[in-house]
Amino acid sequence: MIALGLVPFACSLLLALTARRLAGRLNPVAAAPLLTLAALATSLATGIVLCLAGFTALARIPLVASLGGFRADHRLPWAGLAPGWGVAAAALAGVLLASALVYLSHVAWDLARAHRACQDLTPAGDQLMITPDEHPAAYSLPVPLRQGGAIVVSAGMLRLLPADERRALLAHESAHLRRFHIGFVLLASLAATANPLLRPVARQVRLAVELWADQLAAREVGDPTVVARALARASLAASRPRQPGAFRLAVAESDVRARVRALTGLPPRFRPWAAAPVLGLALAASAIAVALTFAVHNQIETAQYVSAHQHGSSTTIVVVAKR
Amino acid sequence: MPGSRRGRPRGALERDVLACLAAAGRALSPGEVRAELGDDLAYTTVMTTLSRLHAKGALSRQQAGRGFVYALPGGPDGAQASMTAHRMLQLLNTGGDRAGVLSRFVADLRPEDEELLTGLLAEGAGRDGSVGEYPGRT
Repeated sequence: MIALGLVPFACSLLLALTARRLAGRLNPVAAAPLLTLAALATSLATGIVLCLAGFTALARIPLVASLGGFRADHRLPWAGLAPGWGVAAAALAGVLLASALVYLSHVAWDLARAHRACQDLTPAGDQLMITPDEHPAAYSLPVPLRQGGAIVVSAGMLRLLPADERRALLAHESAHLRRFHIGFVLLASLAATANPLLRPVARQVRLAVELWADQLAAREVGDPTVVARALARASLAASRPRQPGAFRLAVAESDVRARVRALTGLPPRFRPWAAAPVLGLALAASAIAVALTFAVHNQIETAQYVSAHQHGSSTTIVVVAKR
Repeated sequence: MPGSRRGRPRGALERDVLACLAAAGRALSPGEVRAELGDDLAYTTVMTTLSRLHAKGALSRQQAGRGFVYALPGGPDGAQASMTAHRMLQLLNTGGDRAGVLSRFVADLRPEDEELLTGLLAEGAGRDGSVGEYPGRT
């Protein structure tokens, strides 16, 4: 049973190691939702396994056992697991859960700040906001929700690009909003916070949504090289005046090389079979987590049943009577 | 790929017209907007879009000769607007995005990426003669 409990971790590791190659073989339209789903399922599975291991360790404390209505010395699942490991698992589960909650509060805080900043700006169009700044910048924000998000572009950026590339830039940002790309990115990042092994997967989700938006922009403009040129011109101009330290946050996030290759190279040949290993790993991790949950649950119930017959305490008689 | 050209989705033309006026930084006539967008757009389409944006209050217009010229409303609150805009960009650039709630168009570059991108722009300038920031080998 201990070996089974390691399966979701092995799945996360495999997913992390293969994420880049698998994502490269899939159309980004499929890669983004698939990898997000796999990351969420696997992260949930590892969390459940950690909680179960922690619980079985805690259940051996007599006080906890008596609260649960069974005796601490009853044979519980993972009896072979040293108590030290169980406590470590419980602590790890607590830390990861806390960091996931902290991440969620960061998301809420950042969204609120972006929302407030948007309200100070006068929208030029339905979703477009133009700031008079000279520094070339372009963002898409998921807020305000009522409008379905906002595109914020500096006047400097618009002046920098020729008309066709400007159109490509706006089409790219608008594609992010229309397809709700931020949802994939945030869910995958949440999964990677709760299970740091999955960080490379979250990174591939980020890249996949960029490729997806580039693809839609290329279709709208009619020429992928225009999108590539817009990306090149904007990136070169925007990254020059900033100091090297400022990159730290996003250093590995947007893989400009992969995006340019996808836009200017030969049309990629996607291989749908690459979805199978992604789904397989996610399914294996989830199945193990569900099976272990049932196994632990059944053994606890057995322990309660046995204890009830030995002691006949009032609380457990109810449990027995219900069965 | 001229075959896959699908035109703009709803709202995209308004967006492009606004961006074009912001880039120009001055009032433009419908003809100038059409020339700037450099697309096979009908004059009436541009005209309709401009007057719809004006009706919404997104553009201001002035009589010029027989027609109108259109501009983004600058207004007296320009200084304040640029202050908030500056604050906004700062917020977005620095600590404002710990959670990754924004997506930025530009990618952060490594030195070797810069070469690739400069080459790409030079190539484009050489092929179709478009004058960009990097004129390259024309």
